[in-house]
Amino acid sequence: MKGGRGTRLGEDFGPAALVILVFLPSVLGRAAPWLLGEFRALMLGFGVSFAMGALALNLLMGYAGQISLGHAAFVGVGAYSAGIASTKLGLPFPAGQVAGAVVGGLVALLVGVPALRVRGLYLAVATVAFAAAMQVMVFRIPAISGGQAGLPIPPPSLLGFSLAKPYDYLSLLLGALVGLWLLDRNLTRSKVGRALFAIREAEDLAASFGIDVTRYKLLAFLLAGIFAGLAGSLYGPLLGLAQADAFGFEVSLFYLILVVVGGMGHRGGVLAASVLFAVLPRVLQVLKGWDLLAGSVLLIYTIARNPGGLAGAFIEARRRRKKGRPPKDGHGPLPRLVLPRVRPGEWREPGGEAALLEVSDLHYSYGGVKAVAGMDLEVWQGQIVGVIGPNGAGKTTLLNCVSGLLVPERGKISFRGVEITRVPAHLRAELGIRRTFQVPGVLGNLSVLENFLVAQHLAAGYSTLEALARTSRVRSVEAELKERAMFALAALGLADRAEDPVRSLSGGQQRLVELGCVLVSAPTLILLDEPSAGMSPAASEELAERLVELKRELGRTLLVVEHHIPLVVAVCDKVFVMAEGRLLAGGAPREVLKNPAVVDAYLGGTLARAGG
Amino acid sequence: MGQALVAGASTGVIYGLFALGLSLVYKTTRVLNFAQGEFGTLAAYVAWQAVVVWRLGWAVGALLAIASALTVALVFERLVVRRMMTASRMSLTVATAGLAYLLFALELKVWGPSPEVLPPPVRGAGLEVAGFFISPVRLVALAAGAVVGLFFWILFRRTRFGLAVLATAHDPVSVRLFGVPMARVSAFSWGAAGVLGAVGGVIIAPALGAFYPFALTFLFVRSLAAALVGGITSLPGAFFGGVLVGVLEALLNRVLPRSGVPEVGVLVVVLLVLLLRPQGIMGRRK
Amino acid sequence: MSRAAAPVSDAEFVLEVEDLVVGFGANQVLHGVSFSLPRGSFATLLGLNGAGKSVTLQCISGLIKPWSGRIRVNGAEVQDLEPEERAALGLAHVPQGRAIFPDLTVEENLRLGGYLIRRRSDWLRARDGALEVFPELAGLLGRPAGSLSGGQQVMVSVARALVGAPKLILVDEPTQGLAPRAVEALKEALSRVNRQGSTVLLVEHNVAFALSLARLGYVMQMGRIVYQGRAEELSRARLASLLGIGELLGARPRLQQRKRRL
Repeated sequence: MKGGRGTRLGEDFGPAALVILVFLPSVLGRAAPWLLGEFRALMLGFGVSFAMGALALNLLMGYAGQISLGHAAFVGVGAYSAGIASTKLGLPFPAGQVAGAVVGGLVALLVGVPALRVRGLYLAVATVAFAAAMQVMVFRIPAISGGQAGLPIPPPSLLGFSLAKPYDYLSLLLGALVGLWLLDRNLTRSKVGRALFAIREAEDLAASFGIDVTRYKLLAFLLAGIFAGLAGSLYGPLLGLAQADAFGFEVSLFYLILVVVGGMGHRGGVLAASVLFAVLPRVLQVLKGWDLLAGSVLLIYTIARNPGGLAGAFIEARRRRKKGRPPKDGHGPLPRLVLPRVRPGEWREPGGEAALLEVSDLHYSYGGVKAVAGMDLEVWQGQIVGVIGPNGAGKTTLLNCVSGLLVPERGKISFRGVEITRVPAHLRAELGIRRTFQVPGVLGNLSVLENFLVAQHLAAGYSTLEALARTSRVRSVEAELKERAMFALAALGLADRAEDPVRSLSGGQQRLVELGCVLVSAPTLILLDEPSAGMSPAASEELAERLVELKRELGRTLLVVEHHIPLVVAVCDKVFVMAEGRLLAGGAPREVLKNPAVVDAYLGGTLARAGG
Repeated sequence: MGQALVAGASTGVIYGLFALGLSLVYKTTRVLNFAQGEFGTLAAYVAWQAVVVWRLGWAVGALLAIASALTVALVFERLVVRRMMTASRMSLTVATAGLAYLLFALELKVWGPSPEVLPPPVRGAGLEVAGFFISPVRLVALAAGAVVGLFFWILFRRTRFGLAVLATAHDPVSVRLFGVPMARVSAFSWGAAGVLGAVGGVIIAPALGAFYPFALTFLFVRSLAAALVGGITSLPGAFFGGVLVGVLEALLNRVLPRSGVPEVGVLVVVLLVLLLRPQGIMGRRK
Repeated sequence: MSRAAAPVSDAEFVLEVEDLVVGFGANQVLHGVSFSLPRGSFATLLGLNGAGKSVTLQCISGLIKPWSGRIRVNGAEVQDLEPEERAALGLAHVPQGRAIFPDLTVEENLRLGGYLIRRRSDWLRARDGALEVFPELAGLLGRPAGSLSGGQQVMVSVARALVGAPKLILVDEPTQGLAPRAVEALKEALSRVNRQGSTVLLVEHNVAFALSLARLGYVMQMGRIVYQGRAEELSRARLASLLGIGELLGARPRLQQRKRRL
């Protein structure tokens, strides 16, 4: 996807390309009088500002997966803020734009707070409510916006040089669009963009990589608000007179259309959709009133034919040209996990007195149904510990409590002697606890390489601002992360699939990617949730060998929840049997498995005894 | 205060019709239909054409209006919705936004941008009940709401197919195990959404005074709020949610008669309700 | 196997599953499952979580489309049919978690089970037939199904399947979360359903419950059928080893016998 295409253009723009990107807008703007005429230049300006707003919504919806049906209000906030800054406060041109961006960002941040609690339809309603409040109330308050009459916004001037002419202003707009594009591009190629993708795909998984979901969701709103505010601040002077109706519900709907028809999460597609639906109908003016009719038919046709939008259609076409269907079956042999042997000292702790992980008297229930009811467990450094038990015994719930996805009702969890019972999942990842999931915990829509980069989220120590500017430090950190990822990929035999989306891989390969992503972050304790699920018996035997290697050669400690008993017997130093949320038996595998109560638990309790 | 209640309830009934359409489509096909309001605008134009231009009777006009919205809804279901069964719901949702714009463009092309006035179905002095004055338009709205509500209640509670639709709204997958044809349920919900939009449109248009292209799309926000307040798992809830929103709006308008206050106030109340009781007033907790 | 090989009516087998291969995304779940159910039989499909039992049922009723393989119900090939078309062939599926409609009354739930019955008189007869098997429900017809106890809800979901007089009924984990008394009542009901002529395929975690009813036993392990035969031959030890928990009974772990390869 994003990263993949970016790398094909070369790691970064060369100086020549940069010069072109900077001068192209002004050249285009200069050429506009000959090509377009004044009216069309103005119309093109409108289209460009819509494209900028759509890029902002794409950041929020396409990257971070947060639905907004009130996007026009963010743009409006930018327009009014900039307008007030320039007309009422008399600030010069760029200051107004900065004001628009800042206020837009802050307001969006505020709207983002409910998004932490609600999602889907409810988030949509919350954003609609916000937008309606803006449109029918705030934008109509005379002191702010000139009331019903509207707020006149004069054309800006730069260094005493007026940009009143449409052509000059067009150059400015095009320049801003290019700037926004570059910022967006930098973002998606950094840990920030990847964290947003991860949140969009699977919040639990993102947290297990150490991504602070709350913080990045708010960041997405903040950045989208800044982008939208900037778009609005440049839109205002085009209007000349800002009125509340320019930022109504139907305008929000239009932004939504641009993003989805373009292809959510693909800035190229969104730009193409903006050109197709926002720029061309305005500039061409050839359809003589039929443009809206033709446009809406084209819109329905496009989305019905390509539900993935323009970008989806493009990617599909390229994939079809390249090769046929992805392989469906085949758990090929698992290669050896000779993964990152980064500084062994990191995990070899001096043999402590306490267990690495201690769980005592853990309780958790789902709406009255007790899943875990007083479970105890200990894992010592360098052990492989298995948890087995019949279906519904509470094994996965236990694992979710240990990894921090669930907060237990009662009981205590300690890691390295420190209590972590209520520590959020992403901080546990920072402490060195990583996990896998029953359905492979991979980001299916991202490439294999991107998955390995997301997994190293915590290793990328640069700030969001640095990411936006793509400083030399960001570039060198990214290069390092990529190198480590490629090393891991080569070790797993997946180097040639680096650019492919993970969902195109076979089930066994996805497991491998998941495990590799966990290992690349050099964790202390690895939690495995049914690692052999969906594997053939042969593949699960191979898996057993790899797990033992992980312990012996890399010194990892593993806690494995597993149904496949032969695997457990083969790899575990110690086994805990769970039944009805409690510890039924625990000890060395051989001894535990001789316990008749364990067989009974598997065969269906008391009735099994009677019948057996 | 009582006057406001009556006014609110009669407007609310119309919101209820739109909310029911929105909710029916959402529950059986998991799509937010942005064109729900525009079914109403289209119907209002067709009725206007029949009543004012062709001088046919109001009843004929209303029937033509309903038929046209029904046709549009069924054609869209057949050509677009059915083909996008497996597509992401967001894509299909945007396709409905496309339909809203298509109808808007059509209205603009055929009838132009200037507002039109649809005369009310009945004239006269209205009624006085227990000291409250009820205008004829409001009476018609209440009566139509009652008739449509009763129709759907009988359909859902007393017929085999209606029951199947209700069950599909709850669980679109397992009903197929009993032999309920998915395609027919989908066509029915869209057809019903068209009819509900049309009935709401021809009744609310005279009350609005004038209407113009895209006019009723603005009811979308209120209908969505109503559907959510009523409860996402309950179809009657959607209808009564509409009534509730209408009454709330009228009351707010009376207490704080400033432009914008009722609209925003209703949304704020809706948000509060959703925060306190996410399953809605009549919905059932999962 | 051509269609002609199997006469459409009165086939010896109510259900024939041939080389079923299923997966989600790139994850293969069933690796070639084949089995057949003789008319009138009572069979159970056993296996640990993730063995592919529920997926097999969902494939048969059409909720999941297989990657490859054939399914015949009453001799008719159904793998390309929609679930609603399969229901019309006399196939009923009681899904895991009951899937009752909580807001509808018990009677309305039953009416849906008999959706394909058009005439009211036919429907009333079918309903009374189902109520004979579950007399307890007769007094609850007007109650919303969501207000019933767990055991009663299971009865509703099985009775709902019975209303359509299915030739084959798939039952997925009916005892989940039931009190012992309700399990006993369900046992009696399922046995009666079978005596009335419906072929039953039961997926169940409660092995003892399943084996007390079924005459045919199938055991699945990791997406494959590893045993098929008479249910009474599934002794405790045999079953444990078939389920892949043989080591629990002290057998030598298979993995330890392999020479470690580095």
